[in-house]
Amino acid sequence: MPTLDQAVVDIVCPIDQVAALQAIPTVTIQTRPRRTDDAARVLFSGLANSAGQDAARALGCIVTVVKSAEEYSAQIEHVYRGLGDSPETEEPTG
Amino acid sequence: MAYLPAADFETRMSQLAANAPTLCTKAAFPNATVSEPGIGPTTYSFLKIANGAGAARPTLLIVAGMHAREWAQPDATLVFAEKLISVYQAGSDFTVPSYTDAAGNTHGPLTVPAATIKRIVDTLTMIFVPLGNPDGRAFSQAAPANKDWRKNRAPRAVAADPSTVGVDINRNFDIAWDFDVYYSAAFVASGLLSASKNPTRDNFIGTAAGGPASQPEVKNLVWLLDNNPITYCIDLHAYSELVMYPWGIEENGSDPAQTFRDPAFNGTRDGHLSNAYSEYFPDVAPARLLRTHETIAQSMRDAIRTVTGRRYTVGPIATTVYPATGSLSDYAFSRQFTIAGSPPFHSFALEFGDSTDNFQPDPISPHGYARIEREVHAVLLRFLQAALPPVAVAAGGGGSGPCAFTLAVIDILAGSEWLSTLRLARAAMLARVSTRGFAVTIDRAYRAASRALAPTLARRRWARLAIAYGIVAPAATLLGAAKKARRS
Repeated sequence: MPTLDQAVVDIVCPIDQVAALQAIPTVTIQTRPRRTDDAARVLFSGLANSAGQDAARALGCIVTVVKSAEEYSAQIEHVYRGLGDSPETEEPTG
Repeated sequence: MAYLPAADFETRMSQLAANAPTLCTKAAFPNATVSEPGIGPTTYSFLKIANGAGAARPTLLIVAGMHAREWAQPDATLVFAEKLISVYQAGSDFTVPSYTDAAGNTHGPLTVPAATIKRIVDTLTMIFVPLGNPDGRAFSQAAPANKDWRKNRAPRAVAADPSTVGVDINRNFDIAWDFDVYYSAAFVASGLLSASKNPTRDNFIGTAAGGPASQPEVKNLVWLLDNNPITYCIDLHAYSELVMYPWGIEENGSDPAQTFRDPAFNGTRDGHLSNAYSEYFPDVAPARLLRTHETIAQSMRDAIRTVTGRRYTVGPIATTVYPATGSLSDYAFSRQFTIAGSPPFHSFALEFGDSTDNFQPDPISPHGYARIEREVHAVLLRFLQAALPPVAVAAGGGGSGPCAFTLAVIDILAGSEWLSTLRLARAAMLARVSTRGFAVTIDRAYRAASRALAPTLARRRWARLAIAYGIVAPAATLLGAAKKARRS
């Protein structure tokens, strides 16, 4: 299985930059926007590679890497290994 | 441990029903999935667990796996159902085993006594839907590239565009489904509303032509609600460490005039707190529905903390996260306001795990799936206990006489655990020669005090709470800590 290049990240985002954050192609937002103590900021979690993390920071977001890409990749490998996945398995179309 | 392939859920449920035919039935949903070629159509099932039958039995709905990528909650729910039947048949306690975290701290165990388990299975009717989105899970499991798939596998909304496959079934229920009607345009455009009319998006609500409740997976859950006297519903998801209850469409309010049923409020909802509009959530006696939700949710949070040490956040959905429409938890809750004669309804939505767990916690690490399973089981135990009818608080004695501690904790969900700890300590003292005399003396004094206090405890909730939280809980905590210290 190829190593994933996206780390697991928590992102605190200014509320007026949410749409822009969601549009960054190298950021995968996995959670609903969570309210914080600061009404002007929301918390997301998801996946982002280095470019995505930089792009989010450029919007004024605070990006925290909570699991490295290597660790997350190993986790996914464990997950799929038990299902009998082989590295050559291709994504079904559609 | 390896996660169950989607198809294996049917096999395991069949085995469970075959092994406990008087307690567990497996039945197929009326609607098979309708999916993009390659997966399905799938006829899938639910479990009904109960010793006995009857329309008057409190009936609960437990749902997991509505989002395809959330693998841990379906497995944990199925294991829970299997374990519940196993301990009931054995007459055993249900114990969520202790867990040692990465820092070396040990948490739990959490035990619900056999007598309570018996009462649960003898009194309640429990409907388990461990896998609410079988085709979605099958797709997400087909390849690592599909790991983030969330939706079902509904055929593409745009025939020529393969990226338009799938509907978010937890946005397809008929509650504020057409969000443009209910919310301000500014809020819809903000990106904060967790619902979309774009079929390429993860939270696509379904096509306009199809309307709400278009998806077979949704129709099946509505069918369960239509055909069973369900008054408790819990929907298990990942992730964010949240224990939540309605509303998800807007913050809760106390004005009965402000309701999703009144078109006068269309376009006024904006997802911000403390504005003019809030969604009515009743809290009037005797049901005290809001207070009941808060209490049950807090007990779930406390149970999680007991078993893994993690601190989940409790709150109404729309106060904790930004609003979303069309969810099961809101829809199930809303039916009490739209169907005449409906009893009060209790609804919960949980997001298990944190970002490091992610959607597929590591199946091998003890801090991955194994930790999530403990949390799911602790929550489900509290959920079932919450639905038990209250035991009559008897003031009188008879037999061995009233027990003040039992009376005090009668409507506290963790009470049975506290009592179990005290009973074990009492039994240990009676068994030891050096402490037996002291234990007998304490026993006599306690029984006399119980007889004197029982009438007050029967009438006065403040007295029960005072004893529960002033004596029983601290004593149980101290005894539990002492036992752990002796073990280590």
